Amino acid sequence: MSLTTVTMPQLGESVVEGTIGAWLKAVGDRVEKYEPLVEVITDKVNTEIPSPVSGVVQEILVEAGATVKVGTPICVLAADEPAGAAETSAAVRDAAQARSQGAPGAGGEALPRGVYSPLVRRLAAEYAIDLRQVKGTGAGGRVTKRDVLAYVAEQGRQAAGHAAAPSPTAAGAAAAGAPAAAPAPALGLGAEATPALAEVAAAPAGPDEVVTPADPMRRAIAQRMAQSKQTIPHAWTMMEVDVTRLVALREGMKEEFRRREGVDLTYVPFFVKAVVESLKDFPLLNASWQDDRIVVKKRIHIGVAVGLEDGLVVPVIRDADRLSIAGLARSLADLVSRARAGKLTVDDVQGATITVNNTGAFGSVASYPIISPPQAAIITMEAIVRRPVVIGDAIGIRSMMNICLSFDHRVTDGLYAGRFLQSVKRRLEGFGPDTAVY
Amino acid sequence: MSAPVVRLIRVGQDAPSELLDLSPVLTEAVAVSVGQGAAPPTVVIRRQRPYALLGPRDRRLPHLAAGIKVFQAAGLPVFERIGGGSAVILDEGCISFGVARPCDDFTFIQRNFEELTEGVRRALALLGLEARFGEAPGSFCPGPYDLMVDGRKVAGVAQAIRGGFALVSGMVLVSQDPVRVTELLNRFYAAAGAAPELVPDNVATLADLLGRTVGLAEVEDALVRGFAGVYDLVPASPSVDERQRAATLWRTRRIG
Repeated sequence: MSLTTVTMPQLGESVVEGTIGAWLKAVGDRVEKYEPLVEVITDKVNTEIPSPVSGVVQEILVEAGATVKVGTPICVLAADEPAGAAETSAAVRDAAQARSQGAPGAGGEALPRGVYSPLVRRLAAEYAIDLRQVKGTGAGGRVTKRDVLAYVAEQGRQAAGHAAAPSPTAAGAAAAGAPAAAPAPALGLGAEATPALAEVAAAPAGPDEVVTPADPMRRAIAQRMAQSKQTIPHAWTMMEVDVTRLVALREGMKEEFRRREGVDLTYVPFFVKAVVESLKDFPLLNASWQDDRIVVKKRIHIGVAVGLEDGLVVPVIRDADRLSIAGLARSLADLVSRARAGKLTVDDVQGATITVNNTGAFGSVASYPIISPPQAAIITMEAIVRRPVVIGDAIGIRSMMNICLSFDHRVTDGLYAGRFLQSVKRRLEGFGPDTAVY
Repeated sequence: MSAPVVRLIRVGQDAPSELLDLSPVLTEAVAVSVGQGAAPPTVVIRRQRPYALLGPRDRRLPHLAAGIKVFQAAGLPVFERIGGGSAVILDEGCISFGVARPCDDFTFIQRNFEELTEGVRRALALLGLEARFGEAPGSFCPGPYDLMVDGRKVAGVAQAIRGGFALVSGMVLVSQDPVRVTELLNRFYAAAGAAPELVPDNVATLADLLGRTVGLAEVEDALVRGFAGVYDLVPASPSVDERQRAATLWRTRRIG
């Protein structure tokens, strides 16, 4: 095996740069020679670039959306056949190391430079895992994106009961690789919580207690929620929405929709649509706080919390702004059914830019959701309740629903968040029997 | 040597409404068939109802939603194309064309531009205009393979190579008002967070260049004759699969 660098090709005589449109393979994917590897955009051309060798994608050096000069290394392949030139490997290594500077690992302390790529570090931060617990399978034992995702997936599989072996005891699991507790944040909000969690795990059971070992999914949830509350200053707001017309719309078409599409038309796709459309006007809620910077996400990937009997997963509807309400309904039905069958892939659960949670499904009328790092917001739809409402000088019976928003107060403030929630409310109240779902 | 046999699909004046609806994505739907080997190389010549068409880079504009509202306020639905380039307006003042053939080699880019636009250049010649490749500085959706007459752009051309096909597609400006269109595109980009300051000066229509009224049917006829000089054209309709694919693409390529 040898490393082969793929560089930005020259797509035309006078073309000096290109934009990565999309990666068609992920790190860890196998690619055959001449198989499409990446989509590159220039002024008037959008073209797939084939792989120059057969092998495995070792590292992606330029992310989608970035524009680089012709000749810039864009990815590294671990080729099946030996490479011809030693300097090719050197160039790959240099390029990778040049990009491996600075970012802290999930544990909060600086990891050795050059050991982890930026992508791996970012994933570690996103999933709140300690990279030192991840076994590297790359060149020289390097931890790749695939290793990180496999580690995360394995935890999820074990939790969902799909792993062949039962999880070890809590103490054993912790020793064998449970993520380290998030560092105490500078804000100090979690300074007491972290040791408290550790004490619970370590304390012997009393005569009136039953100790249940936390499985990997529970530990992952605990880790992420604790990290969120320790590092993100949550602010919360709620509004009530009159969804009487939406209820009429849905009631009027749910049977026909079921016949045509083969899936149920729930209220969730309408809610997601309202959120997505509002995010276009309020992009700071589709963002993350990173090292004293606000990173606004140009693409809208909606995480949808799906409760399981023994935990919670958040599959992602990618580019949700491209989907109609019917399209959202189909995507939701697919993701929810696969979540409940334990058939989600790693790609299905990563990359959400904001989370939506239908807490109303279990009757809640108000909830205070915890933001999933590194996102900046989470929004819930609560139970729809028919109740008397003052309308002008009269009282009418309306279908009312509360919507709740937790947002990262580092990223934005109450006025902006409130206007966003107002937008969601207006859009929900605008849905009615004349709304097109296609 | 005989000319290659190429399918010709037209969406003309008397096209069924359903086909006009699908017009913005029809060429891509057809090209996919070509790439899969399910259809021969194909020329599409089509009219369309007015819409705005964004390029792939436009999707990353910082305030795209606000920009889209500009188009929507003007009554234009918005679609995204697979070829390169930036935003354009297609309406009853232009004719769209696309030529798809099997290709998975990006080193063919220049050759594809040259060969697959030959029918358009011949069509313009039939109308009395000699068109050359060139870039119109400051024009909307500029690129080095636009077709120029006397230094002014009269047809925008873009290319996509993916899924086993090369698709060279574009629009011939028949009577579309460059001033109005440029002003609308400037408003879109300003709202979307970019300000390229487009100018209409280097854009021309066939009506401008010929100094007379030019009808869409006349240009369609010239395009058919132009491509017939290069290929052995076989008139056809989109297959059922292509129509279904177009219906799906209509949803996925539409924005907002």
